[in-house]
Amino acid sequence: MHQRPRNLSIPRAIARDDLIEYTSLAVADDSMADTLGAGDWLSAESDYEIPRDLLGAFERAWNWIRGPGTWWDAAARLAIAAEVRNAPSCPLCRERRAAPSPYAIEGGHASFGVLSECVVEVAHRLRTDSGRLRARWFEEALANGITDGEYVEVAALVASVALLDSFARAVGAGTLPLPKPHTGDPSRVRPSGAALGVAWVPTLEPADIKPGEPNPYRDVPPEHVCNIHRALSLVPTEAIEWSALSSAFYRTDAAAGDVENEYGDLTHAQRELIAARVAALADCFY
Amino acid sequence: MISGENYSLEGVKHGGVSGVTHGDELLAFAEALVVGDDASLDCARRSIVEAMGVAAFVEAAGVAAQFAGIVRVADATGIPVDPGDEEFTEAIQAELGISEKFE
Repeated sequence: MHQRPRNLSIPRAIARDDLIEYTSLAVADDSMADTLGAGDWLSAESDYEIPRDLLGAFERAWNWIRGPGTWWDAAARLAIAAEVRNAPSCPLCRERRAAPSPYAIEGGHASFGVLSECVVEVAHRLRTDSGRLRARWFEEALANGITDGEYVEVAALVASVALLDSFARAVGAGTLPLPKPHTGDPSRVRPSGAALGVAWVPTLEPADIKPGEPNPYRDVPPEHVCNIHRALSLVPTEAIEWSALSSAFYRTDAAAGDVENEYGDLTHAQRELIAARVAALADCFY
Repeated sequence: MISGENYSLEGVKHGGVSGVTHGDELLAFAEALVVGDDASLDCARRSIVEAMGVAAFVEAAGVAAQFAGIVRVADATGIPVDPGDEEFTEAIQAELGISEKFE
């Protein structure tokens, strides 16, 4: 297993080589069409028995991350995942997290040097201090060169890696080595009906989905569509994959909304208590 | 609460008493996973398994992990509270000290 380089004050050229070795970004091997086996890894490394549906969701998500997305190719997506993992140990991020206001702290991120500084800023901030983001920060990110679609895809990747790595750590499995990227080009398909409305980013309403376009709400009962479902709809395939991952690890929307009956081994109250504490620790406004 | 249980937001805020069955163990686990070190996480993990069993622990891990992700979806995109939930949500946010919306 490759170990993540701990000293990120080393020159960028060496850091890039470390990242290439760590993520195998230099090689996109078409012969590895089989799955990573992330589910097998989790099952083997966990200290506890993991239900098959969670193993399947874990594997599906990592297979999605390692492939080309809508705006980022697979290598870039894995580089983003690497930066998500790197962010908690970034000195700039640590200083900002500890400061009363992150906006008073200037500086450069300790990164692998593969992605632009703008994308690194987005990935690191979403990972380490998302609860104190402002619309102005988002607008500055756009001005610095990331598009809204690219940004939403980064957000989906950050959320997914945070979920996957948190679960693996929670069950004592450690950290899954990043896989090799799949080949292929990003689809670059933008939903024609997306528009600015409720969020900082354009979103797509169910009624504005055109025939033939992917439906980000396909797994959401119409009566349950709310803003958290709209959040990633500018990149529908990310919204679909996030919904599948999220539902597997929490509960489907139908079960979560049925407070008259209990599902699984936790009560609704216990589930919400955990959720609320995690959200409070993350300063999540929503 | 709709389910009939009463609970205290103090547990959510400070990790203290919640009024929820096995709330202490669940809160300690959530905190250890988000901000704790490996030793505290291991301790919290064992407490849940002893109190509630492996299946409940794995489900708790899933919930905590899911929220570690979903909060970033919400924060990254600036989505507002859904219409109709504002008054209830504002009361909760005020009690939790998350009452400032960043513009």
